[in-house]
Amino acid sequence: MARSVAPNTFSGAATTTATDVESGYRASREAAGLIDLGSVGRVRMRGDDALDLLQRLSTQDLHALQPGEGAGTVLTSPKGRIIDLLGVLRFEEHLLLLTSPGRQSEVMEWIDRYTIIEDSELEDITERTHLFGLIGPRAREIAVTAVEEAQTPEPGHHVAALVAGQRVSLVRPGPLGADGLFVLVEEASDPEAVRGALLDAGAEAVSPEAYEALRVEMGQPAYGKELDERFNPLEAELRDFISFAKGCYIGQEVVARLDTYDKVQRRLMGLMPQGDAPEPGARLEVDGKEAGTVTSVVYSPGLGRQIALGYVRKRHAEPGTRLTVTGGGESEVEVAELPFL
Amino acid sequence: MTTAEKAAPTVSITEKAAHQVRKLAQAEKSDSHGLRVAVQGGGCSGLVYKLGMESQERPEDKVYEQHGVKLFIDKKSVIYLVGTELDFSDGLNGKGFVFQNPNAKTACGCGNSFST
Repeated sequence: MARSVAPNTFSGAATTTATDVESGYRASREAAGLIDLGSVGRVRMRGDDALDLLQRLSTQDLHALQPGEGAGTVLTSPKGRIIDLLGVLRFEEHLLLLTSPGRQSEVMEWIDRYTIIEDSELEDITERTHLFGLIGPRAREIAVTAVEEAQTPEPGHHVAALVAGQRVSLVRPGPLGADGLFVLVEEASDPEAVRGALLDAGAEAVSPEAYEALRVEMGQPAYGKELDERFNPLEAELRDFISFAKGCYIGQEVVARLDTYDKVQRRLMGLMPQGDAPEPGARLEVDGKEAGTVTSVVYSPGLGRQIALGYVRKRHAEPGTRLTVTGGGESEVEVAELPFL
Repeated sequence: MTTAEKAAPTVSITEKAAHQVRKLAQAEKSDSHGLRVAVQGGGCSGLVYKLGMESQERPEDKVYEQHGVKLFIDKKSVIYLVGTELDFSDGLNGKGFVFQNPNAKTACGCGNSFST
C-alpha cells in the first residue's frame, strides 16, 4: 500500500507576471518555501463505520490504516472516473479528509449519497482550521526549528505539535517532495501565529503562481485541469493510490478491467511547447487526427521556458514525439516524461 | 411482537431461498429463521447488498414474513429494495442468494452490487 498522503492541494492559479512566479520559487527548490493551502477542503469524518465506508468508496486499501497514519485515495464513480483525490489522515477519534481546493461540499455530497445504514458523520471544518505546505530540501529543518517539541513524522505519518503555542499536526505527504510537510492548524489555533513562526524559522512565502509552476514541474495533477469525471485514475497516473487486491469499491470493476486488458487509452504527460505556448484546452493532433489535449501551461523558472501538462493518446505518448497544436499554425509540442524537475 | 406484513410484501423471498435460510438456521441451531437484509454504499456499482442471519427485530426495522422466514430490513434500506424478490441460485455456476431488484438500473459482473 502506498503510504504517501497525496491530497490534490493544487488550485491551478494562472501564471501572471515573472515576479509572481519567481516569488518563493528559488526557496522552494533550494531551501524551504511556505505555501498557503487554506483553500484545501478539510472534512472531519466520525463514526464506527467511517473507515469501512471510505474503504468501499475509494481506490486505496485503507482497512489497516492506524491512528497517526495517512494515505492518498481516489473517490471514483461507478464508471471508474475521478470524483476527487483525497488525503486521509487517521486520528484516534476521527478521520480527516483533505479534498482538492474548494471541493469539500461535493466530496461530502458524494459520500452522503452512499451513506445508508452506516454510523458515519461528516463535518466541514475548512473554515475553522488552516493548512500550510512546507516545500524544499530544508522543509523539515524549518519545521523542527519552529515546533516546540522537535520531531517530524515519518513519511505517511502525522504527529501533533505546538508551533508558536498553537496546536498543529505535522503531516508527511508525497506531492511536496520527499522533504515536504503539511502543517495542519487545528481548531481554535491561530494560523497567522503559525505562519509567522514558520517564516521566522527561515521559510519564504511562495506565491500561488510559483506554486503552480512547481506543481507542473513536478507533474502533479490538479482538480478541474487534470482531475475530474472526464478522466480515470490510471490515465491520471494515480496508480500509487489504487489497490488491485482490496476487493470491491465503487468503480473497481471498470478500473480493474482497464488495467487487466491494458485498455487505458491516454496518459498524463509533460509537453514542451515548440514556439508559441498553447492555451489550456488546446487540442493536439498527429496527421490531422486527435492525439491529445493540453490541460495546464506555465512558465517554469527552473527550466527557463514554458512547459505544459496534457493527456496524450498512448500510441503518441513516447517522449520526444512531436504533436501539432490544432489551430495553432505551425506550433508543436514535444512529449516529455514527468516530472520535468 | 412483530409488524410482519403477510400480504403482498414489499420485499419477498422465494420458497427456494426460504428453504436455504431454514437450512442455515438449523446449521446454526437457531430457531429464529430470520434474515437481515441491508443495502450499503460500495460494491462496484455504488450500492451493495448485505445479508446475515438475524433473530432480533430492531426499532427501525420493517419485518416481512413469507414461507416461514422473517426478513428484517431497516427503513433506509427498504427504500432501495421495494419490489425486490430474494431468490436462491444453485448448480455449477450458482451464485447463492440472488436479488431480483426492479430498482437496480445497472449491476456489476458478480451481481452483488447495483445502482439505482
